[in-house]
Amino acid sequence: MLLLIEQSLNGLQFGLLLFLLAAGLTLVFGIMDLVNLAHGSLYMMGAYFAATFITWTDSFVLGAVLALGAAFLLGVAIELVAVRTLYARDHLDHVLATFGLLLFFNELVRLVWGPAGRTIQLPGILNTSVELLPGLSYPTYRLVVILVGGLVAFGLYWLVARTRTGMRIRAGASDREMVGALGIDIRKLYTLVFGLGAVLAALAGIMAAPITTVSIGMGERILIVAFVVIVIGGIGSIRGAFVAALMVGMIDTVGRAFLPEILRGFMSVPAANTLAPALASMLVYILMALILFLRPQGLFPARSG
Amino acid sequence: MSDPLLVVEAIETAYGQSRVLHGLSLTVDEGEVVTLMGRNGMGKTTTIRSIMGLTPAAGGSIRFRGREIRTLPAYRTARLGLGLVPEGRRVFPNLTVKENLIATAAPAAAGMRDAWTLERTLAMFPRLAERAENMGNQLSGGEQQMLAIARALMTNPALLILDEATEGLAPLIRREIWDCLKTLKGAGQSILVIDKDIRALGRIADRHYIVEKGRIAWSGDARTLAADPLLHARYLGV
Ligand SMILES: Nc1ncnc2c1ncn2[C@@H]1O[C@H](COP(=O)(O)OP(=O)(O)OP(=O)(O)O)[C@@H](O)[C@H]1O
Ligand SMILES: [Mg+2]
Repeated sequence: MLLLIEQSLNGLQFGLLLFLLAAGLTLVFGIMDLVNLAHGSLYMMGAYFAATFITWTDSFVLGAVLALGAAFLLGVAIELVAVRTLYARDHLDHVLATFGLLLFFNELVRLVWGPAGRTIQLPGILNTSVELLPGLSYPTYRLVVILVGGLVAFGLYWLVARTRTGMRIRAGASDREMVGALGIDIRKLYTLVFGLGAVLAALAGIMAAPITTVSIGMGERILIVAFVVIVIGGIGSIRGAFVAALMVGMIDTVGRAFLPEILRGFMSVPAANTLAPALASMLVYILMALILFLRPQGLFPARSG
Repeated sequence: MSDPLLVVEAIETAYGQSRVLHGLSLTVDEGEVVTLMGRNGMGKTTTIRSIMGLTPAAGGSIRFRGREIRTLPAYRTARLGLGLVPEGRRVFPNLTVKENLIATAAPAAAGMRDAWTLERTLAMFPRLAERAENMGNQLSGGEQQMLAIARALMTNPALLILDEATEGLAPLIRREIWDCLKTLKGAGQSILVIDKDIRALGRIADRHYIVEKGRIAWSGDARTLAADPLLHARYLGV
């Protein structure tokens, strides 16, 4: 039981990180109709920026904040230089061009930071545990990730659902020409949305860094799962991305933890031990297939609200 | 006499290779209601799209309050004071009525009387007030049309442009929309309107233009048009 609670918290934490990554992806895909394979690069760049800035400033929080600022500038620069020229083209061109960007950033990191990975050390106060229940102590840092992820998710929901900027973003998703004809500079809005997506991706990368490691290609692995999330949630929908991210995070984490045990219930131990990891890593795709079968547009089709 | 509000001079507009406008010209004065009439496919909507900068004209000149706007992007044209009610309404289906109104609202230019606020707009369209929290795609056609007009008014335009604002609507709703335009005219609003309802246009418009294959084939005041049934037969197909 304690293990289940612990794994559920891990699932929640992973889900929130996925949401941060998926939020930018789904906004950019839903509004600008741009498939961005380089979104994972922003996740990676955030982590590398943080590794450097934390060393320079000798402060985890200050370094992280500087890294977020740098990620915003990088996102805006990518939009202005490369992505802006892609909107009018088709999805195949998007995939080719942003895959090029992805390779570019991986090489850039190799040049600047070297091929070896980095680790980010947590400051002392975060590197502790909290006793949540008798017998269940949980890392403070993971609780902080859950808290920050939750707050940012709420802030983003507020931005999209309640502010005029959010209304224009949603309006642009359904009829971008009309938004322009009513006096809104939609290109500037797109640049800002892209920059915002970059900040969220970088935040996910920064927060994941102390738990995993900072390495080349770290963005690609999680980006695939983020794409699963936005497809399940309904492309363009922040609410959908949130629900789907939590579902995927939870099923993936809990599945990996408990599947071996469950399978052992009705097959031999060696068979269960071989099958479980393979099945566990397939769970989220099975979930996606199932949801798309029932709701081809995803859980919350964005264009109809 | 002051300069006209809008001067369109010999514009040429094409969609890709196919030329649609061949040197079309028109003017709208301050406080005037001007119509653009003509059969299907003659280039009325294209004229509006050129003025707004949605399909920029390749040649000619478009001046708004003396300023050249032919090559401006649509958002800058709109900010100068052109409010578009487009063909097909195009309300934002995934926004509530209230959000449709405030998302792109703009404050009135200095010196403009009676700015359009949310309160004033909803007072003019009580049906929209009742449905303020409904999504755009939950409205009837007539309600969507009112929303499209209200949305344009909320940008506080110096010139309101309506493209087929009564198309496909029930007679009662049409009446409401014409009454609304009449009220706006009474308040001094300059309007450029496209419609197929020639009788209704005749009642509220000061001047008319008839478009034929991308050019102005005839222009004149309401009385001349009414007095010449041949015009109707020749250019309007009625
Ligand atoms: N997006 C487009 N691409 C190519 N051709 C177009 C496009 N839109 C309109 N046309 C063509 O341009 C011509 C003028 O069309 P336009 O929509 O301006 O006519 P209209 O006078 O508004 O007609 P209606 O009364 O049917 O609305 C037509 O021949 C039409 O087929
Ligand atoms: Mg038309």
